[in-house]
Amino acid sequence: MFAPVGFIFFGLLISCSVFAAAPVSEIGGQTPPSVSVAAPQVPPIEPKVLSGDVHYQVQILQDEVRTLRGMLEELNNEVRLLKKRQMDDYMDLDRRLSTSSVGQAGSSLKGGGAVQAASGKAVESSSTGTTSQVTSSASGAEADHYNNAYAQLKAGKVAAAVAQFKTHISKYPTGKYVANSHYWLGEIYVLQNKLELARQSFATVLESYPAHRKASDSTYKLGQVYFMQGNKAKAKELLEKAAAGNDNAARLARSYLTENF
Amino acid sequence: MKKTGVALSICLLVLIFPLTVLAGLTIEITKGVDNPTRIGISPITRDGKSLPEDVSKIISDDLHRSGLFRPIPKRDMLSFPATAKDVYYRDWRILGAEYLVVGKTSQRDGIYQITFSLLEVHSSRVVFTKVVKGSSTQLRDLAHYISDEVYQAVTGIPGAFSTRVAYVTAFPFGGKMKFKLMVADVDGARERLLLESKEPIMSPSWSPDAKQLAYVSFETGRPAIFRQNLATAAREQLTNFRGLNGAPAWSPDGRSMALVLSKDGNPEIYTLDLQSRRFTRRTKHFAIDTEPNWTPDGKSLIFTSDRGGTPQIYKLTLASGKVERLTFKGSYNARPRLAPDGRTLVMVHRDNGRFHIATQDLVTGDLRVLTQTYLDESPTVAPNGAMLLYATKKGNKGVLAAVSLDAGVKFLLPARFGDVREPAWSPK
Repeated sequence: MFAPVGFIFFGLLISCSVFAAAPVSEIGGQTPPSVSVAAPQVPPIEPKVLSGDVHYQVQILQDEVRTLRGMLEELNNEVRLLKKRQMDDYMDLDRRLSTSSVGQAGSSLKGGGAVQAASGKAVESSSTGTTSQVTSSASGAEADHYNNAYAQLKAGKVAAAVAQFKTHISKYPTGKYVANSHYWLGEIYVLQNKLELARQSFATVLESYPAHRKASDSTYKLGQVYFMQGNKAKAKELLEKAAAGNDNAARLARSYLTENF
Repeated sequence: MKKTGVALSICLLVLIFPLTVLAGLTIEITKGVDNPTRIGISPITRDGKSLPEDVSKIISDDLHRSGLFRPIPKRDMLSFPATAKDVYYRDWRILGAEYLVVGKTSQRDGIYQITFSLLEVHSSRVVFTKVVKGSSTQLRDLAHYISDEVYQAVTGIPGAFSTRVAYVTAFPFGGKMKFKLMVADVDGARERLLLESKEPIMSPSWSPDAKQLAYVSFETGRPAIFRQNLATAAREQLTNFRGLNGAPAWSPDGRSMALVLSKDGNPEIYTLDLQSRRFTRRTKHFAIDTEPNWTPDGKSLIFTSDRGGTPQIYKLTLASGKVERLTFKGSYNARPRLAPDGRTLVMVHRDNGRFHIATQDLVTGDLRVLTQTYLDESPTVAPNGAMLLYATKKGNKGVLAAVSLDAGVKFLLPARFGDVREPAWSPK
């Protein structure tokens, strides 16, 4: 459809270029004075010769402008999409965190460590439930430090949160929030697609705190990370281990298994 | 802006004569949905006597062609009820029918009156009962009307069975090509010749009231835009400029027309006020701007331009003159049309060197290639936004094909002879 039209009117396009040539030759007309200052003996350029040249140049410039315009349009679009994606990612994180704080409010009413099994929400929510539960009951510098790190994450300042969780781990190596910190680092790394770091974080929770409330969540998450890394055998083993339980992580692990294996 | 569009009102009687070739277009359904609704259409007769047109067969064919229904063959039916009272629902449950259409006809002074009902078989319930009237020559229209009502009641989407399609056929004649502009019912029936010419005819476009067609004809030796009244066959030449006069597209309010003229150098988009005959230049760019079409609100034009180096689709807001690029996927997107929702962009998209019909959701940006044939062109969307027609090749012949906008239903409308191209689906 389009091509033939372009073909037929190629001739017209040329005539149009002649048309468009006018302003350019004016600019050309302005240039000689400066040239003549430098070299006054240069004879005036023959207009006929120039027009052919200018015509050719205009065509090249038009092609160039079209190409550049196309690139600009595409880059603009890319920027628009990236902005939108960034916003979506942020909203997603924000949504996950806010559902988890809602989950925690509900769970703290019931109290105790049985929260996870009772909560119908995603692992993140149940785990935050635990986290903030601890948060709300704990006090002192240790708790404040952890809360601060968690608040950064909640506010979407992911880089700051990562730094603070790391500091927390080194500052309170035997503290009661170390497992939580490792777990959250793992979560963040998954979102950032840093799978190896995520794997290490979740593995740390499992190895060092096998009895921690985060352990079952971490088993499930670690299985997921192995799956994303392509290690399906290991993933299956962990997911099946997680699925054997009776908590929320077990439920998620079971559905993940049926979907992917 | 010089106005040379001298209005010529010519009645080309030589060119226009009724065509008696019946159903030049036939229909082959190539793909339907996986679970079409089973529907029974009990024969509609006048006290057991057949009608001049087989109304129930037309309804059955309409619904079948939509791809969403699987009508029960007449030979399988256990009874032929004419009213809701006569229906033994058990007969239809056995056949697996979900819906049933019954109807009876009466005739007075040559006017047929059909009372028809749609019944839901499982719940033994009458969905609606309606009455429609018309002369014997309008029986096909009555049948399409019934199809529309049934389709809408079951699917929730207005039917488009009462619409028509304009298209151009080209065939060799005495060593030369001949071109015909045709209009037919959307089922291919009642094909009618509007114009026959030795020179190419292109780009038919319907007026919003579906009473006129605009098109490009080369009969004067160069492209010129004409409009023609379907009822009176009166023709009028709208443009006569040097260079390209092409791609007319009627505005949704019917007052103006978007078109392409190259009188000022290279192809640019213009609008023509049909009342004042004033042309307004809408684009100004050294690249090619062509194939304009209106957004359903009539406030913007979408068009193809290679101002960005490759043919892409742009949107021009008429009030502000602002131009915005709409397509970004692929190096060729052209011939834009908008579905009535104003959100689904239909276009020709090149993918691996093949031209396919694709849709793009203007909100999410999702691109969907609808067709697998090659050299697909000229998409035109049904007024209900459920299906589109396009021109493609089958063997070496140009044929029309239809595809639903969700790509679930496909059918071909091969012509008996010659090439068929440039379909335009009527707006009503």
